[in-house]
Parts: sequence; C-alpha cells; structure tokens
Amino acid sequence: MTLPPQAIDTEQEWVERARDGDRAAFEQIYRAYSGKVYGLCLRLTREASIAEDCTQETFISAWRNLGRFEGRSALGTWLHRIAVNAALARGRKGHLEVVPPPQDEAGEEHEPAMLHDATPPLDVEAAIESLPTGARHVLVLYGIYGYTHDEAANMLGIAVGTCKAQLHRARRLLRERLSA
Amino acid sequence: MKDELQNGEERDEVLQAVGQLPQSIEPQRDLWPEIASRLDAPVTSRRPGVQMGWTLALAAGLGCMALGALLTVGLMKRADTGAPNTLTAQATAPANSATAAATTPGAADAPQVRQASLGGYAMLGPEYEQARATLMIGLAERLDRLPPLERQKVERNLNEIRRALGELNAALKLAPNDTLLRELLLNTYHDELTLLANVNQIADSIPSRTPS
Repeated sequence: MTLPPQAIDTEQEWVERARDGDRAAFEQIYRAYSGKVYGLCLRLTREASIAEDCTQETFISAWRNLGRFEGRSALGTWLHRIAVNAALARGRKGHLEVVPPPQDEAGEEHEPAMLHDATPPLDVEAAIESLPTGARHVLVLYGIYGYTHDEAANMLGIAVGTCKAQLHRARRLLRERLSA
Repeated sequence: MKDELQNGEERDEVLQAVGQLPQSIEPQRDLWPEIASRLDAPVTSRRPGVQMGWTLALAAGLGCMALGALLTVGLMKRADTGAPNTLTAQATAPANSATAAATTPGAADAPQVRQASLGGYAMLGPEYEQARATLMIGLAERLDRLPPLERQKVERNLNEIRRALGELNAALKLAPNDTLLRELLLNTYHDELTLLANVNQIADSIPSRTPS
C-alpha cells in the first residue's frame, strides 16, 4: 500500500494533526482509506452491515491509538491490522451465538455446502466468498492485499505454516470452483 | 509478494485472478458521521492514544473482577447445596495481572483458598492453569445437567474460546508489545469467564436428578 511522495507528506501531516485532536485531518485519513478498510472487512466478514461496523470500529480504534502509531509501517497497513482484529473479534462473538461450522476429526472446517451446489458462482469474488473462513482470510490478505505469509499470519494470529496451508487449500478450492 | 519467490509458489491463474480484484470497495453509505459522533466519547476527549493501554487494561480487569465475583457467588451457592469438587476463579486488577482462587466447598472445614497468578498478558501462570483445569472438572458435572443441545453449544463455544486463546498467545509470542492483541486476549479471557458464569447459573437453575 504505497503512495506517491507528495501524498505521503500529506498523510504524515494528517496523522500529526489528528494526533493533536484535529478531526478534519482524521476525516481526511478516513476518506483516503475507508474503501480499502471496508473492502477488507467485507471480504473477511462477508456481510455488509458487519463490515460497516468493523470499519467504524477500525477508525475509532485508530483515532484512540494514533499516539501509538510510530510510522514504522504504512498507515494503510496499520489500519488493515486493526481492521483484521476487529473482524476476527466480531467473528468470534458470532461463533459464540451460532453453531460453528462443522469440523472433521482433524479439526478442519468442512467446505460450505454451496461449494458443491450445481450452480457455480459467477465471478471470482463470489467464489472467494464461498471459501471456508480460514482459507478465505488468508487468500484475501495474501492474494488481494498483497501481504506476505509472515504478515498475514501475524495479523490473523496463526502460524506461518498454517497460513501457507490455508492458502494452498484456498487455491485448490478456488480452482475447482472456478473451473466447475 | 515476496513469499512467492521464497517459496517457489507460482502466481497461477487463480492468484492472478484474485490479485486483479480491487482492493478498495466503498461502503454503500457514508460512515463518517457515525464515526465522528463516536469520537465524542469521553475517552477520546483528551489527546488520542495517551494512556489507553492502562484504561483498556483496567476496564478489562474490572470486568474480570465483576465476572469473577459473579462466578464465586454462583459457586458458593452450589457449595451450600453440597455440590462436590467445585472451584472458583476470580481476577484482580492491577491492569495486567489477575488472580484465581481455588476453593473446595465440599470440604468439612472452611474452603481452602489458593492464589494463582496470571503470568502477564501472553501466558497463564501454571497455578491459574491448574485452577482452571480443576474448574473444568466441576464444569463437566454441571454440563451433564444441561439439555443435550445446550451442552453441545457450550462445549463448542469453550473449544472456540480455547482455540482463540491459543492463537492469541502464539501471536503475542511473536509480537509481545502488540496492544491490540493484548486487548483481544483480555477480551477472550473475559468471554471465557462469562461463559463459565453462565453455565454455572443455568446449571443451578436446573433441578438435580437424584437416582430413585
């Protein structure tokens, strides 16, 4: 998530001013990154209303923690990290209220039934949406947003090996799905 | 995609197709007004970010204390009815620590109380682990009293919480200073205590089955 030098200067100014409580500057940050944050949340949660909540939580958490943002990573990466945490927390709360997806003896989630439906999804986005949660999370971070396995694993709180295995699984399922 | 080169992964057609998807999707409505209104919350009235770690940790600790007290009351009620081998866990809060006290209400004398510590954010101390394990033994008895569907749901939720705790602990080993991970870990402990308290409450509300 790189920006041209001029934009980075502007972004740094936004951050500095927002740290001092300037909401207009923080709104500029929101305007610049809301699409990427919402896009990630939507793909992780699969529900627009939940993605909206996660996006709001992300920017509120960012506002409260701007003092801790040291600029070692890009602002977009930092926001994405917060968004992943928000989406995972929401997913966990969701799991506590509904029956979790079935698991086999090895503890792996079964693929959703729609993977085997007669009518295939029409596009890649829909095929990604049909993937099991763990595989989808890794594929979204790695494949769409370009994070490395180390970065994605760290964001998701899983081992790098698990991340690679989930990506392999996601690619296999997606290939099957798209060629159906 | 540095990893592709490192791992010899080819960017096959699938990944190519995925990589062409837009990273940005605009929300269907402008979320800024709601975000801006929530920025007005008292916690953000001062310079953002300052002392938030303490605030969050204190809030989480107080939440754990309240739940611990609730759990204790519930289990003491169980003790009054002569239920064997139960144990309470309670948390105290200097921000990043918690304690658990194990009691044996079935004992003839006053319940033995053993203090155990929560070893920082990332790892539970061995005493707390032991206390929690003992609590799980008592929990099994209470779970037996629940209707099968409720029991299955509780067991799934506990497994989910434990899996989350394991993943969070693993992530914190890699990033021990990550504030958000710490917050998530405390929230997950909070969820676990809530669930245990709920099970206790529900089990207490169901009459015990006595063999005829």
